[in-house]
Amino acid sequence: MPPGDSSLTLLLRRLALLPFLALAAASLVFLLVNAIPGDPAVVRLGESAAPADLAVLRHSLGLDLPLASRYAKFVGGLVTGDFGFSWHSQRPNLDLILERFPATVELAACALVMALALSFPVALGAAARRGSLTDRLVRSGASGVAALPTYALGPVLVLLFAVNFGWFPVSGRRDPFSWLLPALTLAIPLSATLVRLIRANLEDELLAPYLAAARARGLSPARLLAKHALSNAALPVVTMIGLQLGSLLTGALVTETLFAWPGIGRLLIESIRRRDDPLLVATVFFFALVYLVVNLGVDLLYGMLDPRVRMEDSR
Amino acid sequence: MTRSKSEILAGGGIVIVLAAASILAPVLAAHDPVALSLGERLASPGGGHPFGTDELGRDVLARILFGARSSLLVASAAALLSTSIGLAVAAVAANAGKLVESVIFRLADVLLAFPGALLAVALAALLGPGRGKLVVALAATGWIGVARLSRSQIMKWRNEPFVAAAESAGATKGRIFFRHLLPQLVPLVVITGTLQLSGFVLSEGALSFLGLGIPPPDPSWGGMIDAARGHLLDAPYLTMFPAGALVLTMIGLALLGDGLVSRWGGER
Repeated sequence: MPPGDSSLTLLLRRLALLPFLALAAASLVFLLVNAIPGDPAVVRLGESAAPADLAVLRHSLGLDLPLASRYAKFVGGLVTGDFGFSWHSQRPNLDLILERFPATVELAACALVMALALSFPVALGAAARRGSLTDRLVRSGASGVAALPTYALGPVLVLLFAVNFGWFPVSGRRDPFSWLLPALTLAIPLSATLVRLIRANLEDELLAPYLAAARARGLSPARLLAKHALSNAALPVVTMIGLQLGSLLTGALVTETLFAWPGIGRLLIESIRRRDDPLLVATVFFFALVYLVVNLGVDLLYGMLDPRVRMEDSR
Repeated sequence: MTRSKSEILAGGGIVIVLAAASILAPVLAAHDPVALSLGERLASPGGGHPFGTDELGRDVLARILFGARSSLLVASAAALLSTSIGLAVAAVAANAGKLVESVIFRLADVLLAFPGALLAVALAALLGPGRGKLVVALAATGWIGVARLSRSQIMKWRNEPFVAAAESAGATKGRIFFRHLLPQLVPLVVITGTLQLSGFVLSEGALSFLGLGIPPPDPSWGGMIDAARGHLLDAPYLTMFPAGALVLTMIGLALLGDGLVSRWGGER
């Protein structure tokens, strides 16, 4: 089968699977909310509410319907783009989410670019001086930095750059530089993970026979690293980024709360604090949907970059 | 001394010191971690309060020590629960036939469709605060990795001659699993348990930071970092001490985990 053909079937197969995974995610969210004890009407009106008021609210929330028809209504709504209404703001949940989504994408994209810009030079520099003190320092330093939790790193960065030096704004999204600190908070642990990965891959590639052949042809060490080893070592980075996108998204929960960044992570936390269950459910489902789509994209990208993956899958 | 051995010693040392500190917290702490002392608000580190006091005059060192308790207790309980569920699921899947196996692992795939700690956040929010609920929220997705890895190990060992020998000697399925297969899984369980422990310490901190974890006034490192955000200017030590404790824990567990992986790496 020609490569172009098989990547098309792969694309179609993965696309066909997407709705089923989305349905499964929706079912899980529905199950989550409905399996947990407690009456949302009581939660909203308080323990001392009159039974008549509770009954009215239950009816208006559709809680008096049987579980199966509530489930059908919920999933049917999601399919037609109806993510329900927020209890708190009385607006469609999808509108609230889509208003906030660009800020989250902006932050994640900035963090990703920063992490790549930080990690490749560092990993290359360490690999070029394999076994040296720099190399060992970079490697053990990266292990430590990768372990830094965002909620500890963020305040420390604020302390250092916003309070001590007064370089960047502490929070919000109005100043043109306000994205820097939250993005850096997300980027630093991610780049440490990437440094470890790229450095380890470069090690493998540097020992591979094809590199000895290239070296024998008289290529300069810099060219060996940059042109040959790096392009192969970069492949797993794509997968790693796909895996790390999940933690970038959930890291957004903490980072957006920390820096008062108006994204969907903060929206989710706000919905929890206001006990706005419909908005919570809609946001969690939206997160899962974004994650599914992005991972699909990463898999396809990987197939395009590495012909071996394509061929193996078409078998 | 090999690299993996020194990593295990250093990481294990840090973890043991932390565990000892958390167990001995009532003895080591000179102050009650929740006792208010408004006259001593935001006292700088030193004197009667080596780590200073917080915005309500509570002793930070005592709160760090008792915070280690919450953190390690919740994380260990969650690691224990998710490892047990993971092993049980793997055992059922390995013995119950193809259909059950594929149903179980397709369901696990659905759980994995949620990024990172999102499901734990949603569960913690819906269940409400409390240590036990926190453990459930963390273990709810934690078992999947253990189940998958154990299943692949069981499938590998199942075709070994010693299993066939036990079968021909008339051993039951249960006996083969508990006496012959389970002991083979010990390195895997120890490694995944260590990795899970550090993941759960992180998640507990994140949930407590977001106000979804250990309910106040009980101390937790994440909650302390959250409360300290209003005092970055006048009392930066309120952020530095719990953050430092967390980072130290993470480094200890990471060293231990790395050391164990490279020591037993060939068996994975």
